[in-house]
Amino acid sequence: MSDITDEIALYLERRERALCQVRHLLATIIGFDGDEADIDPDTGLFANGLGFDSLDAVEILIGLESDLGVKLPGDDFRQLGVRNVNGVVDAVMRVRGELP
Amino acid sequence: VSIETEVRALRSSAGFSRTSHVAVVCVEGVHALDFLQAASTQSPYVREGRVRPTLLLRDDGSVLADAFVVRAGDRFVVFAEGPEEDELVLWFESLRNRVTTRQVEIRGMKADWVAFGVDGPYAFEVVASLVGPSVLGMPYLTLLPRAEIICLRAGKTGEFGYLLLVPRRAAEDVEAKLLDRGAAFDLARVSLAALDVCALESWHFSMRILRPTALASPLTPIELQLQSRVVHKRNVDGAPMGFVGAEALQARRAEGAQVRVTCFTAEGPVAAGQSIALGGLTVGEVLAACASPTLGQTVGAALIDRRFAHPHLSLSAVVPSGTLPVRTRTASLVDNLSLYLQPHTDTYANRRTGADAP
Repeated sequence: MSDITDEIALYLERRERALCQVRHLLATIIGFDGDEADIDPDTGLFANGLGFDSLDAVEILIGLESDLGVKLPGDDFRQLGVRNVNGVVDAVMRVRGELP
Repeated sequence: VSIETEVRALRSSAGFSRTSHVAVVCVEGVHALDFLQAASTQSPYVREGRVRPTLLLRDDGSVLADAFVVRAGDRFVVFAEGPEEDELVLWFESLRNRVTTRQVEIRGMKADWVAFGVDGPYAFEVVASLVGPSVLGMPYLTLLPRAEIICLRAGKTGEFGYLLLVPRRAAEDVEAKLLDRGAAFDLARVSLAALDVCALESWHFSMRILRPTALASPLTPIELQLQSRVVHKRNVDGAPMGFVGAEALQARRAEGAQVRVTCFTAEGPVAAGQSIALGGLTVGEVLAACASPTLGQTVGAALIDRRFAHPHLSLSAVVPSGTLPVRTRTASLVDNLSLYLQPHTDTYANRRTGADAP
């Protein structure tokens, strides 16, 4: 693991932490009763992914702010480029200044 | 016509394809629902008019088919990519002998029906010109049965996409009409290769990316990030219901998957099978890659060690000439035009171009 710089190791640690938080939030909103780790990072939020609708999207925004203390710079997921779980994680890390 | 031209049509107007790679199998009989419960990773219990995306797994948990199941009256129709239709019918028949002796009829449909695909941001207009304006109101993953044509909205390019099932005797006429009416929307014939490029750009799963790899044998929905299509907890008549491959999948979950498919881009050609490294450490292998006309880069899917299977990492592909920088990315890579179009109000004729384009 000597090829892994401290910077990369820190990013990966923060990424895993944010992913875990986002999975938990999304699982709570949809009432997911399985293992949250089964929510794949590239799973889409809508349609044939997690099946969220536009009202759920509002809940995600509210949950990010209330549970994670993250206020996204906008409320339109399309404009924010958020389409899947990883997109939400990116948005959270961007606000936190944790994206490389 | 080059693949670049085909992809451009799929991203800006519409593309027509003969979807001969899609197996179409009818499953009917009083126990058809129970049978499909045992066959697929998602419950096929859907309301009429809905389309259920699912997977068919082999006993070892590997993916046999990427499928849509639709209910039409008393029967189910399975649209599957992966196996040939005859192969899929045999697989279903073999399963019927294993899991139930009850009455289920299985029959391939392509002797009597032909499947066409229409994909692209203005595919809705092309299909509406043939099937009628009801198409404009179809949500994703729904079915519109007509007397002569069964129409599914279920594309895999990131743009609007429709699968049309047409009686074989009418197929030539329907194809000619589609191409004739589609001319007003710059409808282009597109190949499976072009559809696969779009699938990779928009990060839709395609059976064509699968290949044997020593990193995970077999490749299951866990490594492929397809777990949203797997429902483990299912009950039929109050009893837990399993499906083919469920035990293998549970075993893989218990032991922990070591790799995860991850989206990447590169500034040069990368090929399937090439190693992915972080510094001097090998962390993965390319599953599939292609030149993306939309992005002007190589886009690909790689199996990456789960510790590093995250976006925004600078890695390298080990290519014959040395190493090539690659970067893991958050999918999807394309800001699809379809996301900005409303079928009821937008038309190809009044499309915005240049600086006004969405």
